Amino acid sequence: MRIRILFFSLIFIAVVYACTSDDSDFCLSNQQSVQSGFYSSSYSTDRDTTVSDVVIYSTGIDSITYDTATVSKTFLPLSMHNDTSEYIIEINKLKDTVSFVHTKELNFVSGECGFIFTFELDTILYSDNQIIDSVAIDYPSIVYGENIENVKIYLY
Amino acid sequence: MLKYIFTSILFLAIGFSSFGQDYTQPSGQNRNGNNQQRPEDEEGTPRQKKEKLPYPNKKRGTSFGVDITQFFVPVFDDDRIVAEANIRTNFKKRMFLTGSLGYEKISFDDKSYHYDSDGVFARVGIDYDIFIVDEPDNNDNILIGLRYGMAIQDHGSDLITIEDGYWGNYETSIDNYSLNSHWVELVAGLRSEVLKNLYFSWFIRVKGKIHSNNTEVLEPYRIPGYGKGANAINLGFSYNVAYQIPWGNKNRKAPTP
Repeated sequence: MRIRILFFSLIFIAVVYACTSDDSDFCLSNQQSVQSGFYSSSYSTDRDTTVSDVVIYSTGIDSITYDTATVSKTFLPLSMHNDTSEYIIEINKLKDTVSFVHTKELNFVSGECGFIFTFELDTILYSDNQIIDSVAIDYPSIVYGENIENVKIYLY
Repeated sequence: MLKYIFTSILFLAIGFSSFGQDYTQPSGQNRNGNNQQRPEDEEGTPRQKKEKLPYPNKKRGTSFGVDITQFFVPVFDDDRIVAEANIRTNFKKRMFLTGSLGYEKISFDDKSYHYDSDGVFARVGIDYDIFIVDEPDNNDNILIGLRYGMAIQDHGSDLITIEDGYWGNYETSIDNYSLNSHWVELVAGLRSEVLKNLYFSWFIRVKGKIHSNNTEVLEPYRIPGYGKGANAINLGFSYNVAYQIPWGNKNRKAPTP
């Protein structure tokens, strides 16, 4: 009887082992982006706005983040090399500039997924010449795995 | 996949070792050869009280051994080198004091970061033999026990690459530094004397981490002797070969011819 109890206990342990020691971590992208939503400045309460013909790019970078897209929110990668990530937002040929000033901290995700930077938005500098009315930080932390809007961009 | 094959083989091995050995006597007899009343003999007849067997005088001593499963680690995982030696000595009639010392090195550069770790570990604990068999010269044990484990390791990463398709990949590093970890283990296993004073034994280990320090910057990929550093509970298996130096056996009953 004791042998049988031990045998079945070992089966239980082995099954738990098979479950707990699974190496297949699900890894997200290690590139961290600030999530920005477009809002209309015409309303007293926040109303998200879908905008068409949006072009977003950064000076000195060849690739364009958004190219004539129709969007209500954008995901703009933050630079790990500099403390500021600058983007030019162009809507219907009208342009303004948004600069995200941030700090970063190296974090270990897991053995399989490696490392990421967690960013903290410090300040946002922007021009309000043609399309942007104002910009507000809603949630300053850009954390791996979180899906939270960080910035509200109010458009004229 | 190898892990699942290994687990399946383990199931079979456990199955054969458990059911393949017949520790029972022929039906109707107890271990002493006396007639034992069967439940279905006569309705209403009270059963005989089961006789409790005393723990036999098994051979005592101090054994020195190695965990041979560690030699096969590089076959399954060529990033790791592990070695472990152990000692076991009788503490009381059916209790053992055990200890082990080991070394584990891990190094890989095929992920988004390079990783190096060098460390030593130690385990101390007790085992309790629950195997009672009235068979001359049977020195086998079914053991359950408890261990305390501790590891000290140096680890770091000389290259960490964070991929960024827009601004460009970022590279950094973390210098090697020391950390230590503590855990407890529940163990269960079988130990058998296969030749005179030569023992083979295997153990299943359920390990629960108590604490690791300095893990904020870099969590250890593996803790020597414990396993995956990120897991709060790890399971392990060991297969030991040990030679026992007998002592304290003067009063043992000579085997009956």
